[in-house]
Amino acid sequence: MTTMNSNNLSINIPPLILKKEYFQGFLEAIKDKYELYIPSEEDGVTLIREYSSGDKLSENYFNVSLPIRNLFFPQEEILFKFSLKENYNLEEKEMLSRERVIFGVRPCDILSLSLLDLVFESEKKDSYYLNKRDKSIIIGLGCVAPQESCFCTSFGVEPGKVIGADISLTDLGENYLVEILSLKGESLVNYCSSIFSKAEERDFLRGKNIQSKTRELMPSRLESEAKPLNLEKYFESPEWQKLAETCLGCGICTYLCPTCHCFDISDKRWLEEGQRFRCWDSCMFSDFTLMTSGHNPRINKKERVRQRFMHKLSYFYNRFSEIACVGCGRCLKYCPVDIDITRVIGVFKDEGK
Amino acid sequence: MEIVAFLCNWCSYAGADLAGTSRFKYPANIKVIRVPCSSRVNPTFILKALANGADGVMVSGCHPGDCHYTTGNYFTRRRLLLMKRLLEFTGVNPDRVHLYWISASEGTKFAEAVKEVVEKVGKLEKNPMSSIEGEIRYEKK
Amino acid sequence: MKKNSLSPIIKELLKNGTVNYFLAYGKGSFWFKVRPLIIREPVELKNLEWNRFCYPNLTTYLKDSSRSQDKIGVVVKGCDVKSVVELIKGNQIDRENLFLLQVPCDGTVDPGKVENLVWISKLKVTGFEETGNGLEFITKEGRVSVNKEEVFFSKCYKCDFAPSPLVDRYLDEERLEKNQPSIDNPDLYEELRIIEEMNPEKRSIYWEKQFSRCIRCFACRNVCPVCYCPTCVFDQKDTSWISKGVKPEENNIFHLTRALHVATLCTGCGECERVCPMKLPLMELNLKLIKEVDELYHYKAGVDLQSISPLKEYGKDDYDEFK
Repeated sequence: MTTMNSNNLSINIPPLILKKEYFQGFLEAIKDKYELYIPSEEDGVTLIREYSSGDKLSENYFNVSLPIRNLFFPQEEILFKFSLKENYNLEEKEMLSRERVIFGVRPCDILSLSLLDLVFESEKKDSYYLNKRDKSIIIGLGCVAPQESCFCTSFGVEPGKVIGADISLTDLGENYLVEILSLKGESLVNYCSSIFSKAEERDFLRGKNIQSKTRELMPSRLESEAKPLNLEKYFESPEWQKLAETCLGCGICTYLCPTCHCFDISDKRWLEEGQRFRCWDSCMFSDFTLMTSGHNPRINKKERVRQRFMHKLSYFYNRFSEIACVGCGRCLKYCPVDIDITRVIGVFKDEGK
Repeated sequence: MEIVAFLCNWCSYAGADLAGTSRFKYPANIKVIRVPCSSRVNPTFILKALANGADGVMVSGCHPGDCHYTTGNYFTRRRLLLMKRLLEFTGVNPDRVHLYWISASEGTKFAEAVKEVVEKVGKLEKNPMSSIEGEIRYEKK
Repeated sequence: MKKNSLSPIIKELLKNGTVNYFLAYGKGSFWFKVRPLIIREPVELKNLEWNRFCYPNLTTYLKDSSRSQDKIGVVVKGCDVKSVVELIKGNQIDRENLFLLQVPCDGTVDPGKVENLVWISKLKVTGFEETGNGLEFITKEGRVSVNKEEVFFSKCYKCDFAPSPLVDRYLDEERLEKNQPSIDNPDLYEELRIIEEMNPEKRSIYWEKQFSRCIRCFACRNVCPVCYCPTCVFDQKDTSWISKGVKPEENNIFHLTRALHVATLCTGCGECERVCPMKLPLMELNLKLIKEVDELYHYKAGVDLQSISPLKEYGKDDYDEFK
């Protein structure tokens, strides 16, 4: 969190209005100076993709299939290249130097970044992640139509309201209400200030109204705020076996989760050159804990499913005092066999910490 | 241009040997991998060779009916036929993958086959399946 | 589609020891999802479900069950029986330990297609009801009627269901007879034609784009009933056919290998494509191979227990285009 919010002390720009007819122009203007990413739909899949002129924000955009973390902690990232020739050269990965703008991030995904910050910043500073974090300006877009799988309100997210980004956009129908939340956001707005007009009091109030209204449209998957669970006590509970017996052991829930952050480091080598990369890994794969000796401490699906939920709901809380879930609902929506984290929270919910 | 050639131990590898001892000329673009039987060639070998930067793949075994293991190459024939159809379907030019029947006595046929493969692969554009970046690929020689 | 008649049968089978447990469909977290349900005790029958959204192929849970002596009952649709045939042929399950209970099915609904018709208009759907010809989706602003056949999975239009001697019990014999394919003489390979007609460059670009989305979650492999190798070639630790990272060029090694490995086994159940979170058109690869195998060797998977996969046998006079 500190990287993002340490600089939002003195923002002097009042709320603004961005007319939707100028929206494409707004994107074009950003593109001239920044690298720009927007959610776009291709072959029925909405992903955050690099913007090229004429790309449209996907219609009926709800959220991207792959979480936003892919832009900060990519599925595969080359750390350095090496060569055995001459002087055993090491060529380090170039860090981002140009600022980039990520448009249309939903409140749940913005919260997930603050959870990832805890991981990548707290003990050892991960320069690859922090560099991308530092060079990114995030334009959040409040939700107006939550989906059935959504349960972000259980994690303190106000689905209509953007918190923790650099700029907040609220859809007013014909216009966007633009609120600047950080100095980085301020610099972006100053750069293309002519596109915006000043928000009237009533626009502002309408925006606030829309922001708080979204909550009412939320389905009630979890009755209340999710509390950290004392799951260690239930380590041997037979419930885990029941939960896990239909699990297919695929990586959908972990790869689509905005807060999962396990990775592996590996080399790819050619004759005299190669590269070291890190890539996402998933605790749902049987080889995740396979040791060189051949021993595998999490040999069955039961242990793996338990690990995933324990990590999210308990271990992460023990380390960082936060639950590693933001209620985006991707794992619910995409799990082929309907293993449901809200069900897990439900099963053990009486066991608060 | 580099062609990976999977040659069966009993016929085609001996055929290649004969081509060599008889001093038949053929292009030096092929890198030979000796396999016990052409049916040892798993389709994944071919895909991996292409992904690792080979421009083409040649598989060669005994003539149908003459397999050292009696029936191995009959299986190769079915397998590679399906694979070629699938490759073509996914936009890989079928001229990248070749299967020949070359016996131990057919040194000339081996030399001709290599010439033909090199000629056909030479006409193709850069292999789209290659995962090797240009500079690494060409510097490694 | 009655779930009420299903429950007493399962209860009876559990009670008289015909089966140790039953694989069935249970209530899901959403109205458009069902959850595979493993029933060991009659009390678990309260969660039993049977509706239009029972699309999962439960036979995938039969993989590698020949090692245990458990007798397993399964609720199957006509198309799932084909997977059972291949599982028995692949020695994954003993016929004697299996009890197949077939429910009459005249099509399952693809939630993706419903989403396009109903959801996108931002109506909140809370449930659905079956009417004569269609489905009615209940929303906060009233009901939306949809013609059933607009929202079926594409495999359902091509359903070539025929009663199988493998099935131990039919839930509803009368309805079964009326159970006809949705379309007469369906074009089985309709989807392929568009791609086959593209020129090679376009095809290459098309597939490159599709494969580049793959995130290697391996759901397509894991859900497949006939992907039953004890250790997948891509999970072997001493070889690395594909690296752990995600390079688009390597994605096609994975997907083409997977398609070739299930060639002659794939019954076209479509689960791989259904589970893919990145919507890769995986069935196009499988269908292509089904088509080629059919044309070259006149073989279809899942039809009977006797016929042998053409890749497991050979013909001396096979078509030979090689020199």
